[in-house]
Amino acid sequence: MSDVKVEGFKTSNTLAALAQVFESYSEEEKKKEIKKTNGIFELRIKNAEGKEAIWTIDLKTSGSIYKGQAKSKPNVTLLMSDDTFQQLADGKLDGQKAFLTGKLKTKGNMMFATKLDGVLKATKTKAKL
Amino acid sequence: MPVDSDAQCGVSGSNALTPQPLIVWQLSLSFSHAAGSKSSGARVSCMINGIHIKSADVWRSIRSLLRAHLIVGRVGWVLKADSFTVRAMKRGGGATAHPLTSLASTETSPLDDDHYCDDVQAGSSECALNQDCQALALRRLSEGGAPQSLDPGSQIPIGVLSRAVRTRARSSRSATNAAHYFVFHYHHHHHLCCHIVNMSLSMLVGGAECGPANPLQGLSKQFDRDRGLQQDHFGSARAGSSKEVFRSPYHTSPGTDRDAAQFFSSGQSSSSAAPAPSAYDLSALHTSLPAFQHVQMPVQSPPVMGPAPAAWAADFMQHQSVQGPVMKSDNVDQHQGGSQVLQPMLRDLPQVTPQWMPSYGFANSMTAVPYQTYTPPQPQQISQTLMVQSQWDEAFMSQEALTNIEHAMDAQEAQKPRVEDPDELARAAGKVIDAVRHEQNPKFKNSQFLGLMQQLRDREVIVEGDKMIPKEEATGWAADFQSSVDVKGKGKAVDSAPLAGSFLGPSTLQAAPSSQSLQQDNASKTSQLDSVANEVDAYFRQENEDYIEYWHGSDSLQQPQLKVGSSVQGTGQSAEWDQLQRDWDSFEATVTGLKAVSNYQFQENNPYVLGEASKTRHHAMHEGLSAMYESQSVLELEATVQRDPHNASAWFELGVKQQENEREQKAIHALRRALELDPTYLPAWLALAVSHTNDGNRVGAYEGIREWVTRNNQYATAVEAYRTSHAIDGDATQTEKFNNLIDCLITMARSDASGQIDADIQIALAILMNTNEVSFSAFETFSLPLTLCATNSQAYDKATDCFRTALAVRPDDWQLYNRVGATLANSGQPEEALQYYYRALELNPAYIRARFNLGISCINLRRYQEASQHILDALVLQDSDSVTEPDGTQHKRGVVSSALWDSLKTCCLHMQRLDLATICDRQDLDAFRFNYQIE
Repeated sequence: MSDVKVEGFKTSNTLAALAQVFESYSEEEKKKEIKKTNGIFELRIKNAEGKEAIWTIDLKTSGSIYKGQAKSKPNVTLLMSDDTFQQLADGKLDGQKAFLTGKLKTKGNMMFATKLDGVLKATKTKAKL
Repeated sequence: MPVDSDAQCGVSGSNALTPQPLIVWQLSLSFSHAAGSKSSGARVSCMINGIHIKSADVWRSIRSLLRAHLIVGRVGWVLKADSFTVRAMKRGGGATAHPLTSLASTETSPLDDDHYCDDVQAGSSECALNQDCQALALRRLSEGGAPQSLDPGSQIPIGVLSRAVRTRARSSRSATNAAHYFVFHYHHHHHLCCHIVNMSLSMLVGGAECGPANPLQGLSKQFDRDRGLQQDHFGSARAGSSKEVFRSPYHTSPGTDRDAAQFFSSGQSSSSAAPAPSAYDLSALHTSLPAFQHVQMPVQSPPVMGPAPAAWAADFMQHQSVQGPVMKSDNVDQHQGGSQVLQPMLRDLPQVTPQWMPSYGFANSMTAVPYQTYTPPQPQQISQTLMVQSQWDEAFMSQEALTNIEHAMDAQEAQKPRVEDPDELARAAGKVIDAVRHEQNPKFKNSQFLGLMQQLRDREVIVEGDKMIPKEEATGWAADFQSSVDVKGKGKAVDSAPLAGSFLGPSTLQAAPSSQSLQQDNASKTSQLDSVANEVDAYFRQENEDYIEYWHGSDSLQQPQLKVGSSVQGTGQSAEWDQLQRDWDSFEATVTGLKAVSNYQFQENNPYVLGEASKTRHHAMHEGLSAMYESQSVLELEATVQRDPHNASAWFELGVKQQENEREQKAIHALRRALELDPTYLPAWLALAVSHTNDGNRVGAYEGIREWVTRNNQYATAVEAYRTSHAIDGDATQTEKFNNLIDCLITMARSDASGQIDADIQIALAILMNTNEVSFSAFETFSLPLTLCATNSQAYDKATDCFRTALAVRPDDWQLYNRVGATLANSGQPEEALQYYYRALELNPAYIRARFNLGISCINLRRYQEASQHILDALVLQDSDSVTEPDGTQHKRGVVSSALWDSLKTCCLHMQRLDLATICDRQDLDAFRFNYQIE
């Protein structure tokens, strides 16, 4: 999981945590998550210095997160800034909003991109009323 | 400074109004000006639903409109496709006047947020303007943005800057006032505003396509209408009250808030310093319980005779105290009383309804038989009872409940003249046989049980001598048992002791004649009896089978000497019966048929139930110290419910307590039970809706609120009027139904002419808003960007507003504080949520849910150490509610929520404490606390 990390990206911390959660899933839970999402996200994140890093969230076959381009064709590629991803992960921004404001760009199946919200939220417990 | 009069610029720079990018849509020109600088920026921005529109296509349509309409004075507009920032040069200097002289346009890249944010944050002014264009702009102002402030007035207001307001602004020369003017109105009417805004947007777009046909004018009409409604609705009282209530309760808060922080931080430090005495360890409470039950029935090792009888025994024990004197063997006087009680019971027996008789027969015989077997020859002096008792304790350790009964009966026997009634017994046995006539199973037909019954019927077996069990007591006991199980309702069906409880499923057959109240109950319900008789009869039959099985179970253990070579038979049968039992357990009988069991499972061996003394203590607490309510533990409330299972409000309290204790399923069960008992109990409907919301059960939440609305007499007329005018089709989508209900609630809120805020309505609204999240599918939002009127965050904002409004009325309701916090946290503002959690915990330190939520927020803020501490505290609190057996084992069933452990595990993983994470998997609280302190 440490191989998920890339220096200078806040995103990498979030994804590392996410990867950790995925790893802690039992086979059954993993299958459930894969069934729910059933696709591959490729994230191309640009940080403040203009560097780009690529991660892949595979929830189609392996149920894992890894650095670098998707090994098989991703359902959608998401392009955004490091900050934007952070906001998305924190729930401060939702995907639609980010897309409308141009913070988030997509290549591929745009509809599938909406599922990223769910994936990021899966790791979060909701506060109860 | 000359002010360009053509540009109607309201300036609100000096005020603490710092806009935040959110809510509704707005077309606005804003000015920001750095002090001392000669230039200031003016920007046109378009917000739809708080989303700054940067996407080119959206922007293009807006721009075409602007071109058509927005020519403001001498300011020319140059708009490029992707640009929406207009730089304006001030003609003069200074910070207070804004004559626009020249204009330069710059382009910002879509990703250039920082620039934008800086502008807005520093942006002291944001004003909608322009009298030349047809009417209005929407604007939003938000106050302060200070996240640490507890002032609920700091919520984001929406102002509709319409012509009227502009006029007002002009006359007062202060746009700030105008903004405030609408801020007050907003609180009550954001829903309305938003709806209309949505309409307007589509109009706007339509207009753009058709050329410069002035769609904004149409928009203006919409807003004019909106304003009219608003003004109708907002009496001065409302506007005024909203202003006051929002602010007043919080003026004292900063101090208390600090106190709370100190309190909690000290709590943390103390518990981290000393592992053993946790700050919230409530177990001491339990040890201080009256030790009453140890006198007569020391809670020994768990009964070993198998789960079914054990559960039954526990049930029975719990009801011993309820049933009062009948079963007490340590008090001679009580036995006298008991025997007196029994006489009327006996007399009542023949009057029992026919449907009930078979079961009665079973109960009767069942108790009679063990007695025969078990009661050893025994001198009938009371002086020796104790000795015998001790013998029995050894011999029948595992049967403690039963032996206790026997003690009781024997003691009673010694005290009172025996009433012998062999006829009674024989009749009962006959009934048993009648009842099982249909049973085709040859094994059963040949069973000892039936044989015994036959013998009893034919009086071949005569109960005599020391073994002669006083039948009146046995029957009385049976009746008692019947009623006690019945009273407990279906709660125990799952415990393999469905006996009378499930038998009497519909609760119309509470025929047990053992108590006056039940008799009355019965009388009142006999009329219903006939209608359900047939149906119930079927259940009786099955119940009888279960009963026999049960009896066999205990038979095989209790009466080995009678079990001559039938063990093989027994196992074959028991598999069959087990299957039956399982089938039975998953359903319960109701008047309308079978439905899946949703039973509340009580914790076993609840010391509060077993203790007679605790009963009085409890009542004393209730009468004298109602403020002590919050300190009541779940166990106490469960005991209350078990003592008085027909009390809807007791069930409700239990449900709410379980909610507070973060046990959603139990809460739902308890609340459902409360509503079964009393469907008009309004608070329970609301609470149930909350639980469903937390469970993500949108339909359940909707139904709960709808029931609440329907049954709320206070607003019956308003609801009626609304429903007739806004009838919903049967095939309306869930979203439509939702919106309909929301509108209905708003109507209700308005119908209250007293000017008082009904907190419950606000809560109901807020619950609906919270569940609304899922209502906008990805498809809708992506394919029709302009209709995304109520995005998630907006629904949450509304929910927050509603909860805050309710808080204004109930400033000491810790649940509301938690709800505001939770809503904020779920909308991605965990930092703002913290203060509400703190406040909730200040009001009720044992509020587990708030503590857990606090932990979640800390996780989201990446403060894992803090989070783990909070969650650990919550776990300890939950754990303190469990019952510890003397042998050290704990009933873990449903006591500790696995969600807490999961979150704790997440924390540990983040803190790089894999060792702790593995402990979380085992859910071993003690080990975790030990290891946690080591660090």
